[in-house]
Amino acid sequence: MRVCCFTSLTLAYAARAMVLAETLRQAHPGWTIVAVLVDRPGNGPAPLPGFDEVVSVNDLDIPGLPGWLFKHDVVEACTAVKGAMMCRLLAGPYDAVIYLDPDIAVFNPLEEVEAALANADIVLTPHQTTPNTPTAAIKDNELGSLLYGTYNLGFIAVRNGPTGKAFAAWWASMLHRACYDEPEAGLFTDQRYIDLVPGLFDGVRVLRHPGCNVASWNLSTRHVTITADGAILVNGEPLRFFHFTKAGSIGDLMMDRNAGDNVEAFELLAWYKRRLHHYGQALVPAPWAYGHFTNGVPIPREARRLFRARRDLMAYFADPFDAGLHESYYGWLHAEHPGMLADSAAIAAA
Amino acid sequence: MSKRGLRTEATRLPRHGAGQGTATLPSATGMVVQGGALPPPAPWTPDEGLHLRPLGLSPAEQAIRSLIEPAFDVQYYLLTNQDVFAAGIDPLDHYVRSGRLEGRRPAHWFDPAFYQKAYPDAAASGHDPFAHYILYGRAEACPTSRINGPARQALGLIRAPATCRPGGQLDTILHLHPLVLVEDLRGRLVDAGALTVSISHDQYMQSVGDIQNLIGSEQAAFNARGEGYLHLAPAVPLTTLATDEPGKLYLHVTLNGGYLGATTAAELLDALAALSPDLPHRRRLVVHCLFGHSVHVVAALHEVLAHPDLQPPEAVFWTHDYHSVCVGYALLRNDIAFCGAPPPGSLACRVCIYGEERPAHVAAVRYLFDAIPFRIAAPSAVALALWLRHAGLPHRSAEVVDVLRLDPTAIRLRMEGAPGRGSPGRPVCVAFVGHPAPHKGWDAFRQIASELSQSGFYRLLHLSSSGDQDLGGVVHVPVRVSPDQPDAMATALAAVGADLVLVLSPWPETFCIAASEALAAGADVLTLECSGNVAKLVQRTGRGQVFATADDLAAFLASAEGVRYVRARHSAGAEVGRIQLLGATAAMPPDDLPVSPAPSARGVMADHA
Repeated sequence: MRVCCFTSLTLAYAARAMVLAETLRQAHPGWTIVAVLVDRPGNGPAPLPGFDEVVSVNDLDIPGLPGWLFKHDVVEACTAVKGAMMCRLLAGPYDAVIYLDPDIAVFNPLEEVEAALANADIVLTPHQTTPNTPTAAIKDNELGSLLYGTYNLGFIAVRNGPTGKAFAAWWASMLHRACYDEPEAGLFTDQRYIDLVPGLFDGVRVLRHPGCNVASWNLSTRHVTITADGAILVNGEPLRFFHFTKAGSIGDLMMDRNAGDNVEAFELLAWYKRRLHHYGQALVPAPWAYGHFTNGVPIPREARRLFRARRDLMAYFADPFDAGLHESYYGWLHAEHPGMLADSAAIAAA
Repeated sequence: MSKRGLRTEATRLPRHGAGQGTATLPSATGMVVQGGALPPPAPWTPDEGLHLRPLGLSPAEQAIRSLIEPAFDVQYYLLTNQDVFAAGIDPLDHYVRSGRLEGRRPAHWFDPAFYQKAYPDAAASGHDPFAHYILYGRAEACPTSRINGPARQALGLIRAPATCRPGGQLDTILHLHPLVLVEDLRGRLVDAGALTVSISHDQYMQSVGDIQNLIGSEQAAFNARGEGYLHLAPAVPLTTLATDEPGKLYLHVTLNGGYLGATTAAELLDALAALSPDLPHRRRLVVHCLFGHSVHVVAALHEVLAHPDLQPPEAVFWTHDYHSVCVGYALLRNDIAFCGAPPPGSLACRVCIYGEERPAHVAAVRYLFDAIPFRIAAPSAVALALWLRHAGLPHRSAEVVDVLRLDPTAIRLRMEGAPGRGSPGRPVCVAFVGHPAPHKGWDAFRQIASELSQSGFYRLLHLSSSGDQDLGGVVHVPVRVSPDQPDAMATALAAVGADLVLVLSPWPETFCIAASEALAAGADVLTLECSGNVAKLVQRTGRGQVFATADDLAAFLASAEGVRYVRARHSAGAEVGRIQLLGATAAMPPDDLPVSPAPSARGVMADHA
């Protein structure tokens, strides 16, 4: 099976993506590994060791790219391009295309995924595969899934065929319309849409293997063990891939709450941080290219939300990143909503 | 120390088939002992019979008191807060009035700091963490403390061995002139009955530790037979193999216990080659530890000791640790859990701090074992079984060699009233012995100490040669064990009245003199199931308790169980004794296996040239 696996990232996640590529290559040396870079590298495509190809967001044929990108914060933007990238790769020579978040590390070959793709067009992994009993865990999991989506879109696998292509086209169109972090509006980037997939498409396989998409949020029901013969197991099954969501920040706290006495899970986290340090040493920290106006002032979240809520603004300001004082969104904000820019300008000045 | 109220039953314990008898001896604590019957232990718990003074709480405080009272551990609070106990204040009143604001724990199982960090909404609610837990967290089964805290803490501190190499230049050392080296060796070895060349990781005459003392006893035993003993230690301390060329690898040279100076490995090999015709015919190479040594130099050393007209020199390799299996010599994956020595390249090795360096390390060790037909000497059956199962290295033979013996000195101590060991009112003395290192369980001890440091019912001690790890509430007692004072630790433990010695090693110790020192001093040992030879010793002697986890052991101490145990133990009596080091390699029987040609290490030096 010719498989292409891709991820989507900004340069801030380069070290994570390198760990993904390193571990994926160890497990599947024959797969093609591609990245879509939602950032603006200084000189040409950013070098990402381990990847066969790095595609710039500029190469995805997204109409009105600057205005469209401006509507998204960094997480939204990296997510919003996944559908378009999936379509692009399904037009290629691959039998299947798999998306993995850049903060995933692969530990064993994804055998169950490959097996599922033999019979299914779309393979999904739920956030949780076992009911929780403690209220605290239910809050973190069951209620969380209802709010943010049943399936974790750190992973999705699509077989290259009519159904897979139809799914990808639908997914890409939805993400192009609205890939926003607005749970109050029933949206959480690309995840809530996927709740509709079992109803919209045939050939959907929900993969409930405990070793797939292990993450801080589901460690309340998944127990990591490391055996004397060197295997890493989750609930007695081989660990396939671990999703180190927000490692080093809120993800660590979530592990504290859910992993508790499972020290082995923290060993994996410690290893992951060491690998990040290893790759990160060679990287120069760079702010997200689409995180600020051309004058360096950070773009406030409210400015993005206002922009994407107003069709007139979108129609008038083709490049809302432009910070000229005349005929620019920045100038308009400065005049109409000066308070919205005040904090950002102070940050830029500092 | 008072002698009042002490009565001791003296019983001669079976020793090497000797008959039963009695003896009256001065105990290790210097107290006079005499025979007598054992009294039943007096009941004792921290809150028993106490009249505790209420503080007169406000209505609001009273409401909190009523809320948390069912979950509040009165005994624990008194056990861990000596100031409250001494003041005779109602502990729950104290907690409500001030303890909760000071971050004190209301029970062993509840860590307010952890709870607040894990549940920021609890902190934001205005409730104190314990009240929040009672009201909300308990129903939601929220975790209440960080489990495996020491392991988690250790994970944040681990470093790959290759990154731990000391930088910079060597300290000033006495570089022996090659001619002086040759003459020193010639002068003291030509008339010796045999020559043993031994290598280990440091200068055993200066450093303190179990292996150093074994080497000291080995040297003394060989010297007593009229044999020469040449010891080599790396000038640069490492926990890895050295990769320096022989001309740049400095070794400290000690001959028959006297320090000669430092030389390069190349100069030493040249000196031994030049002296070879004059050296004693019986020659022996003993490897106690490879840290900081080059396998190429060790192989060349074995070759240079060979005499063309004689049998190949005997070679002994000691498995004091598992450095021949992994660069992580304690087989502690990420310094926290015994790994079981999985195959190099396994996933377990991939996520381990030692995994990356292990393949090259194992290949180097394999080279050495291919070059030298070692007799494997294991200080315990645990060590031998594990090595045979996992090392996969060629060897001439393998055997267990007892390195020490605990000779009972025929005393049973028991107490009658204060202030002797196990008496009500006398704190239980809990000691950590030796180097404060992760593989010795120091992190677990630190956690226990943080919880018990304010307790008036425990007295925490750390006995070691250096007190550079300052812990609040733990008294450091400097003790230096040396070849001429092998009983120093046992004597010190007895002198301070240690009741319990904690051996918290999270890996299968090959041997552990500290455990034997505890028994010799009349203390019992609290240890972990995974501690290998230590757990076996406790089970065999019945002198202590073995726990599944360090958390279980901590809970045992944090309850009154630890206190009750000590009282019961002392009421039953505790044997004391004396440790005899048996001479290590000198205690091994002669090698009577047929001689086979040694694999040649010829060309070893050429490889480095």
